[in-house]
Amino acid sequence: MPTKRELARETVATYASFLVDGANEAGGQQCAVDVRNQLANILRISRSNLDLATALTEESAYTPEQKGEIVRNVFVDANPVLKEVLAVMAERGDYALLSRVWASYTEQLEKKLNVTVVDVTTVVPLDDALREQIINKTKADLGTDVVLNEKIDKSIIGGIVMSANGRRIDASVASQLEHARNVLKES
Amino acid sequence: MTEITAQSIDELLRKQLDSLSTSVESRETGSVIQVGDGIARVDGLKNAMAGELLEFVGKDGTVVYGMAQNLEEDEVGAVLLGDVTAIKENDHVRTTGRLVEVPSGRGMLGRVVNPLGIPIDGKGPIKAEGSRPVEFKAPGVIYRKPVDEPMQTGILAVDAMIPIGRGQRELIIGDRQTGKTAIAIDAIMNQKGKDMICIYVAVGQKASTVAGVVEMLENYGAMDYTIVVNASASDSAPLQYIAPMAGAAIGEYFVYTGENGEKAGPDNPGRAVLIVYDDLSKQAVAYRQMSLTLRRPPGREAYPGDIFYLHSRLLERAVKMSDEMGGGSMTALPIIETQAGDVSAYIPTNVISITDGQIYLQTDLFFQGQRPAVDVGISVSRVGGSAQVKAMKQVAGTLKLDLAAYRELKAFTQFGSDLDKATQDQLNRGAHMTELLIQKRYSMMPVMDQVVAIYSGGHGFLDSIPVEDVVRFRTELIDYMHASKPEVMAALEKERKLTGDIEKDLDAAIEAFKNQFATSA
Repeated sequence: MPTKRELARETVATYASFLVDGANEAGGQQCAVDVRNQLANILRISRSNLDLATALTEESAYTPEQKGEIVRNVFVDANPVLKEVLAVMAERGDYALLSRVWASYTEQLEKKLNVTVVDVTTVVPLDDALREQIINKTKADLGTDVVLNEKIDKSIIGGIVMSANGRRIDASVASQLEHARNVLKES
Repeated sequence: MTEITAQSIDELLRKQLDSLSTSVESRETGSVIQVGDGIARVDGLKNAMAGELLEFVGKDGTVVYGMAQNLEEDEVGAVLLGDVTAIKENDHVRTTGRLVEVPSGRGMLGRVVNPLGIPIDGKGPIKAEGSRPVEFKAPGVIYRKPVDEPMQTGILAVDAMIPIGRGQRELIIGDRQTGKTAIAIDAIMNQKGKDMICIYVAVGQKASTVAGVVEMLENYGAMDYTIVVNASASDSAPLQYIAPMAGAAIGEYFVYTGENGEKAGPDNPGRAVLIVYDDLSKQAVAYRQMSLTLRRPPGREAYPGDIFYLHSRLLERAVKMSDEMGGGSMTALPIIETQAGDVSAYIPTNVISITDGQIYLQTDLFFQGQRPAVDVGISVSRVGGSAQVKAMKQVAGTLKLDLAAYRELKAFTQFGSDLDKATQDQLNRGAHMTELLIQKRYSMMPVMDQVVAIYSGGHGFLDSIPVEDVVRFRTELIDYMHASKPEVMAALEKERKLTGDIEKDLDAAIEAFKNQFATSA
């Protein structure tokens, strides 16, 4: 008989699989990557907003229908497939599995589409030459196709921050300065 | 005097920045799911190690360190070791590939530090010689040797009947306000000039109490060889939890390295360390809080299932190393506070079973004026006997049994009846010997003075002295022996055992002193 943990793992995999297939059918690889980013944002919002998290995860807070309605109204701009999956999760009382669904989604996205999403953060937009260089380098390192998910963040001052598969390479000016500050403080 | 110029500042900064490495490395990152009560739940970090040091990066770039505790299927439960309020949900968390470590070395002597080794006494930064992991597996049997050197506390009742050896774990247990800390502090003060490094770990105490202890140690010149590790009541539970282990790690540095900073060995002896954990009950409470907030299942008295292992692995780090390993030692004096004398509670029974004996302090004795309030009937030392000085063994050999017989007889005679001469003598001797063990705080006695004092009691010299004069007799006798009979004391110090000649000289000297002693009655 499967244990509760195994059942939860299956449930998570089912939601994630449905999301990957749905997003891929709706708009191909780019849509699947967009859904990944939207899912990450929703996860961040859910973690930092206690009222929302309580409303969607506590059993006695609202009826399942009301929970579904809340998701549809709060995440009105989200991809329709994602919005519906989240609503179903809320209605079935599975919203607490969201972070695991995100992890499983990322895993399945890479496996099914043989692609790794690399988040690249810079201060100024990447030019084509640099983009090409990063793609070639990461492709060689990871051994899969690579999709760059570009972000602009002025707080890193300069340089580049890349992350993929839970690992992060921080070559930003901000972190180098922080490092220098620590060296001066300790010596 | 060196002139400060723009050029010299520039040179200095350049020199310091030479050690700046600009290489970029790939680090595993995760993000905070939830934070509160000094605990953070983190997702990602699939390769985090148990006990690994984690870096939490706050929104404004503040780095707060944490320690990985619960490694679960999809998240890591970590305890925060710094400013808890600087960390929020979704903040980045990085692994470091290192276990939590504390700095150590001679530079820490005389200093008060927090459990991370950061000074909190306002005396500036500490230059550490090295660092040690907070969690460290105790050495195995082949690296150890039996306890064979005494660790004298300077307290008559303890050194005579509950002797402690270097490398032993001796529990000090009793209710609040019975003088547990006093015994430990006296033991630290008594190490002056004995080449012993002392570490006092204060867990969950009032900062004012710790300040008082530090001041007292300073006044007696004991801070020169002492390090105080403080996690006060206002510090977070994780800091209180790691404080004893951090203290042990600081001590281990001295045990495992020689004076030259190299690994201890036959030609590079390790140092002797005395560590006081004051107290482990509060550490257990902090660990209970931490475990419950980490959602670990509660067991007896709501303590987590591994509370025994927490204390056993900590106390197992007390050690007497073999000569091949440098012969260093770490003697541990853990303290446990009982509630209304209940030693059958969970934590006291655990620690009693782990340690090599216990010094049991009684509230009743304390208020009867018997201070230190050591109940010699139920206090034991399981291994210290083999490390006791021969002379002390000779004079104190039967003391414990005699006092036990006295207490039994005393209880029996409370019913009131005529007593024969032998019983009266036994009661009289017992009362005098009990009085002899009374000792004020901060008045530690060298071991040979203790031998003389107990010898005088055991050989009946005190029997005719009024009980209220016994302590004065003891003090004046010791002064007399040092002033008028230094040759006897020197012979005792040299032989370290009672030979026929020394006994004869002692008898004569004590008799001579007794004749000139004026009783108060």
